[in-house]
Amino acid sequence: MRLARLGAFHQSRLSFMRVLLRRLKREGWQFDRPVWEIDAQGVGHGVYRARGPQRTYCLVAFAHDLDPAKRSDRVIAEEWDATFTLFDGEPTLADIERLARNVPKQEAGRVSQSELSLSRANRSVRLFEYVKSCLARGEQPEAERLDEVGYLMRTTAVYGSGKFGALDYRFIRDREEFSSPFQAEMLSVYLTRAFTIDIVEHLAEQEAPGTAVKMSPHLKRRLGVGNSTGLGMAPYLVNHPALIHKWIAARETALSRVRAIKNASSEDVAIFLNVLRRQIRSTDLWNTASAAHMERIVELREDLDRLCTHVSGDGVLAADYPWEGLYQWGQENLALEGQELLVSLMLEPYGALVDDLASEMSVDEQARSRIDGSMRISELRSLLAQYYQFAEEFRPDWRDDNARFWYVSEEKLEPRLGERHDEPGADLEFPLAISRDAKVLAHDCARAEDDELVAQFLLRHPEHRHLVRRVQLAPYAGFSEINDNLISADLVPIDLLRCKLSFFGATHFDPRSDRWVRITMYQNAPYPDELAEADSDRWVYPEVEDSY
Amino acid sequence: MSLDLSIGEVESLVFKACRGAGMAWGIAEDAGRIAGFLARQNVDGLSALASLLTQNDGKRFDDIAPMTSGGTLRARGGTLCPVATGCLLSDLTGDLQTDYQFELENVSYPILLAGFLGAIAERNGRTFEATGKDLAFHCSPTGLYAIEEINALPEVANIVVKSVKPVNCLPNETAIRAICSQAAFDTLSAFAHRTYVPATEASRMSGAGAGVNDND
Repeated sequence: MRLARLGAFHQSRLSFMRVLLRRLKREGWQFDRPVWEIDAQGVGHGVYRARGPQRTYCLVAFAHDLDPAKRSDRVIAEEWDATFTLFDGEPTLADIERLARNVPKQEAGRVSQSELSLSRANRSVRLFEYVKSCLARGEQPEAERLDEVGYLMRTTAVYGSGKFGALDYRFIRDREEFSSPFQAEMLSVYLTRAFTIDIVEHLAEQEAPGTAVKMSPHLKRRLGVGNSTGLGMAPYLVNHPALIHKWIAARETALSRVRAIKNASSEDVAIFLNVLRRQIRSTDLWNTASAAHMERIVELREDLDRLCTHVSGDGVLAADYPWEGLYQWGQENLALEGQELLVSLMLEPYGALVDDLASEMSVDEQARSRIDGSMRISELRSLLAQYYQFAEEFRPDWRDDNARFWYVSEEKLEPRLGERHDEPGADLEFPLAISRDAKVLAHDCARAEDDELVAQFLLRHPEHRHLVRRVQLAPYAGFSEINDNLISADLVPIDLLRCKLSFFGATHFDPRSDRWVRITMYQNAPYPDELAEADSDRWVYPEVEDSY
Repeated sequence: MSLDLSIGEVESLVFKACRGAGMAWGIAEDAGRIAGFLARQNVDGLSALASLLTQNDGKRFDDIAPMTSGGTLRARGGTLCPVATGCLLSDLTGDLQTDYQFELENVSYPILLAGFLGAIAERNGRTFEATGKDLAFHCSPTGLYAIEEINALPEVANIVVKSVKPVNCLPNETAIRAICSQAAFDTLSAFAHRTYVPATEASRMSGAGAGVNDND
């Protein structure tokens, strides 16, 4: 799949946040907040407990009094307004003391095999103080102001599996609740959202005891958790080919199941039309300061209007194979953003048909990591020809094709993108230039004997080993490779982030440059204490007054 | 002093350290996985890796990789790198039906080779026996055996590896964490550090898209 398409993906039923909330509701998870030891300055800790049918998890939240001058979303920050960890079970006092010494330091601290995540969040300068002062005055904040930002606090990194000492995902994979990817991280963010409301209400109450009010439930719903994500996430899609294949394959399988439906019931059509209207509302609320991205959003709004007009036409959804017809219409009439959004909307009526795919989005990445050295070079050449055609487009002598290099910064220990022709460090390039490397591999394969064993070839060419592993995976994982040149001058790095974030379930992508993006998570979702009564299915689409 | 690491941290540290020491990316990937495998088997592969990378620092791959001519695998430069050798054995042992025998001359840190053989055994459901002077262990689908001896293997050995009939053993208790000595950690971190690019003013501004106010 091309990167531009991956970078136009939207959340769907298979997104990990939605998978989690469906499970929490279906299994009747219980939530409470057994500990809230936060003082008048907003310093202390709270514990949010989630009790499932088999196990309990607790978000331990540390609230800090941060000097506003130190508030930065960049991963390089060293202090935050709040820091969090998801504890596996219920923490003892000794656990809390240990975590209090480590979690506030984030990367500079250590967590243990009892922890499943490590994260932090900063208050929104645009919104937090405003909401606090409204509540302290006994007033509700204006809905429009809330919609403009969409969150009270922004997480700047949510570390999971094995990071900074946390338990590796491989050891919790067989727990039913973690059978889909990133469920521990998504649970941590879901509980963090409750904290962001609690802390603003707490501070308002401290400021004006007796006068302050709680935020009204319908206003709270409009707030999610923000997130700022930069290049640190970008290499993930390349470094986890088998996993990414699973994600995209699940989405494509869901789409093909829906396209194969012969007749749409009137209920299914009504659901589709309902989420379409609600999506239009969501897209109206989606804004960004990025001119390039705003153009896409404006185009998407026009595409949604066109889609509305089309589906209200006579018999469009009453015809045989209506979704196949609509999908084909979308391919011909909508831009990439619109095409991909249409895919997400088409899945909405069909939870019973597609939701099972969520449990197939996880993979044992080591299972196919072995290189088959007994393969002959002739066969390797065939695989390259079949699955790496996109690499043929790479022109080694063209400056723009070879313009960038991916590296890890010594200062920040984070992935970065450099300009090959202007900056030092290209000799330390990380292996993300799949197009170029596949082209070189094909060249060296062409000069090898047909019947040479891959094992022998790799003794002569150890530099191709990482790519041969990918090539041998390709027949089993057709979506494992991004069919584009990731070191091109034309590369839009945030497309890599957008793809991953859409699978998380993020909305309202707000690129702050071509290298980092702000998003919103869990906006419009029911809070833990509302989940038992609320819609845990299509909450992501904001309610509209005249919805039918 | 020792450190408690997650398996993911072990894999990542070793991957970067091996790359920093000059190994190809793909070989470093295998080394990382094998370090994780050994940690899960309660075997200290990290000290051996730290010593191996130090010993082979600056050597050419061609001098420490196995030469395939003839029946015995040996290195042009004298001692065989167990990681390069392990990669070759892993590549060649996909066929479940074939019986294998490999003669290896002067393998450095055979404990690391045991990691590769153990991973192959686990994957293929085969059992391998490795023997040499002062050395005998076997690797089965349920783990590495003669562990005490494995933790005290010689630093260099001639080894014969062959596939054998399954040996009845209770599965080993596997670990979910790695214990790493501070010394090995520091050595591996120093090698890993070689993969990092120092910041410049230009890269600080452009590398991650800075220059936009993020505090809002």
